[in-house]
Amino acid sequence: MKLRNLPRAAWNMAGVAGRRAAHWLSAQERAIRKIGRRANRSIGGIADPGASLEGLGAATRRAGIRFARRAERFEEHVLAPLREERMVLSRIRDAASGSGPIIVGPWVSEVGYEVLYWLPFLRWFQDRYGVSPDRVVAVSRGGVASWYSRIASRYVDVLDVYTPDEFARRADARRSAGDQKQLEPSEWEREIVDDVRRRTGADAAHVLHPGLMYRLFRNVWHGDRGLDFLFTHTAYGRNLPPRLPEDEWLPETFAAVKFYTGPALPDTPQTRSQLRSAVASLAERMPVVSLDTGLGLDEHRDYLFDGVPGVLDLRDRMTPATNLAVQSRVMARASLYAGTCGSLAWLAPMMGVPTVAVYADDRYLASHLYAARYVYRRMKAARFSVVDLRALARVTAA
Amino acid sequence: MHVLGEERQVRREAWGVERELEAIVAGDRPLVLGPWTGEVGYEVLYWAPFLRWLAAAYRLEPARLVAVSRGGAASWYEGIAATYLDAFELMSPGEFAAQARAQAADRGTSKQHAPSPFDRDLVSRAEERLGSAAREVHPSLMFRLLRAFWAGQESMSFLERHTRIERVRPPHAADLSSLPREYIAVKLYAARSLPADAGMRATLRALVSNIASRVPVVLLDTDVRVDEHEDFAFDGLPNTYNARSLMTPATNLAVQTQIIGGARAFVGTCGSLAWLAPMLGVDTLALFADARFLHAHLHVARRAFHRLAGAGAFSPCDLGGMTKLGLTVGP
Repeated sequence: MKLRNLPRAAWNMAGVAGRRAAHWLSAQERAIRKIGRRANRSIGGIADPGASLEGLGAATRRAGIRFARRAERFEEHVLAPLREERMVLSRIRDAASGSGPIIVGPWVSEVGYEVLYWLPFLRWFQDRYGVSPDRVVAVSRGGVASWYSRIASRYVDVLDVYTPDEFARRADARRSAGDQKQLEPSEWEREIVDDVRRRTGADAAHVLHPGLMYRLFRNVWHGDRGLDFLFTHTAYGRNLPPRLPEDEWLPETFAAVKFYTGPALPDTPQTRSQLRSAVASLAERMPVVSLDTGLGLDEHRDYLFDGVPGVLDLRDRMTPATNLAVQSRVMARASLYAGTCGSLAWLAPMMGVPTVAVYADDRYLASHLYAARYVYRRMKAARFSVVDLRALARVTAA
Repeated sequence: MHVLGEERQVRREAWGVERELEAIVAGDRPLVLGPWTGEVGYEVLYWAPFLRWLAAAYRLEPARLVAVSRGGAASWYEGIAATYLDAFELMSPGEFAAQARAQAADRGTSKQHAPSPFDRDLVSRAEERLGSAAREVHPSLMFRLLRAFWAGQESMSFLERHTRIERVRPPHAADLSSLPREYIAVKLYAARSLPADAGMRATLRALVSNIASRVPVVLLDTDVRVDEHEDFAFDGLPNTYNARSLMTPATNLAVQTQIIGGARAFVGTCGSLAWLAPMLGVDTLALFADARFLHAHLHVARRAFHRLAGAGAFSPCDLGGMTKLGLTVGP
C-alpha cells in the first residue's frame, strides 16, 4: 500500500467497521424492541415485570457475548492474518522496486514446495510487479535452471558453490537450528546470497527470500485462508525441460518412478515389500526408469529397486549438481510417473505426465493435496491419482 | 485495502445468513431443522455438523428442535434435536421419491439451494404432526453459508467455525442376529467419482470377492432409490450377506448406520456413508476413480477425521491410481 493511500485506507476501514456496527446496533435494536413487545404482553398477561426485565437483560447479555465472540474470531482469523499478509506483501513490493537485480532464493529446501508454490509465486511476482527476467538471478540447487528459465535470465547453482558433502552438512545444520521450511534467512543462506552477489557482480541486488512466500501462504496451509488467496498470488504454467541428445538412450515408452522415505511413506518392511511388488508389476507392462540418486543430499532416502527385472536407473548419468535436471528431463518424457506423494510428484502432472502419488500417511499432505488438485484442474494438467498404501494393505489383507 | 474489500464481499453473504439465522431462532416457537431431502453425504458431512454449531452458537435447547429427514436418520441428529420426524412417516416413500425427483428436475440439482413447494409441503405436514406452527431452518441457509468455502473463497477455519463434526452413536434399529459376528460392511454405488462402467464393475466385484475370501462381507445395497445413485450389486459372491431384508424405506439409513457401527471396517464409494463411518469409530476405505468431484469434501473429511477423537481411520483410495500401478484388489 502506498503511503499516500494510508488516510484513504484508514477511512475505508473505519467505514467498514462503522457500517458493521450500525448493522449490529440496528439488529440489536430490533431484537430489544421485540423483547420489549413481548415483555409488554407478559406484563399485560401475568403482570410480572421483574421476570420480563430479567429476560430482557439476559437476551441483551447473550447478544453482547455473541458479538464479542464474533469480533474475537474475526480478529484472530481475518484481521491478524490480513495484517501479516499486508506486511509480507509490502516487503515483496520492496524487493521488486527500482530497476536493479533481484536475487530470488536461495532455494535449499524441499523440491515439493519449490515446484508447487515457489515457482508459481515467482511467476506471479513478475506479472504483478512487471519485473523483467533480465533483472532476476535465481538461486537453487541440483541443476534446475530450466525450472527458472522464464523467470530468471541468470541461474546460480548452490552445488557449484559448495561440495555435495558441505551442502548436505550445512543443510542439515540449517534444519536442526530452525525449521525444515526456510521461514527466515539462516546464516548459511546469507552466505550464499553474498557469494551470488560477488559472482554476478550484483552487489546492490534486492533479495526475494523464500521465507516471504512461506509466510504469505502459511495461512492457506493452516486453513485460515481460502484457496482463492493462493490462486491470486501464484501463476501456474507448464514449463517443459529441453530434450537433450544424452537422453536418447531412454526407451520410447517407459514409467519413471521415484520413491523416497519420509513422513508420508515411512520406511517399513511392509512399505518396501508393497513398493517392490508395485514396481515389479509395473515393469512387467513397460520399462521402468528409477530416478533414485543415491546421493543423500537431504533427510530423505530413496527406496531402491535393484534386481527387479526391467528396471533401469540413472545413478551413473547424474552428478549432485545435475541430479534434479536429469530427473526432471527423464520424467518429462515418461508415459507415467509414480512416486512418493510430494517432491517431483507435484511437478509431473504440470509437465503433462499422468502421475500416481503414493503415501501411507496423509497427515501432512492434506492441504497440499487439496491445493494441488485445484491447481491441476485449473491448468488442465495430466491426471493425478493417489494410492494410500495403508488402505491398500487393509483391502488386500482384510 | 483491496484484499479487505474482497474479504468483506465474501463475508457479506455469511453475515447475512447469520443475521437470518438470528431472526429465525429468536422467540420460542419450535424450530424445524430441514426438511433434508438431498444427498446423504452433504447431510452427514455438513448439515448435521452445521446444526450442531447452530444449536451451540445460539444456545438452542434440543427440546425446541425438530429434525426432519428421511429413511431413519434419527441417530445422526442425536444431541441436536430432541424430536426427529421422518419424511416417510409424513408421506409414502413413493410420493417422496416422486416429489424429490420432480424437485431435482425443476432445480437441475438435488441440492436444496432454496425452499421448494416440496419442502414447504413437508414442513406443513411436520407442523400438523407437531400440532403447532414452527419456524424453519432450511438447508438452503447452510448451502448459502458454506458456498464460499466450496468455491475456494473461504478458508477451512471458516468451515470449522460453522460446523461441529462429532462422533455418532449407532442406533438399534433392527435385529442383526442373522448377520455374522464379525464382518466388513460394503456400500458401493455409482457416482461421477466412481462410474458404473464394465471395467469398474469387474474391479469392484474382484475387490469384494477378495475381502469376502478372508472376512464375511455385509452388503448394504438397498432397493430404495431416493436419489440418482444406483448401488452396485454383488449377488452370488460367497461369504457375502445382503442386508436388504432387514430394511424398509423408513428404516434403511438407521439399519445401515447400525450395521456399519458394528463392522470391523467399512468399504464404500467415497461420499455418502463413507463420511459417516469414521464418525461411528469405524475404519473406512473410501473408493473413487475420479477425485475431481470430491476434493473439497475429501479435504474436509481428511482434516476432520484426523482431529476427531475416537474417529475411525479414513483412507481415501483412488482405484485409477492402483490400476495404473498394476496393484490388484482381486484375489
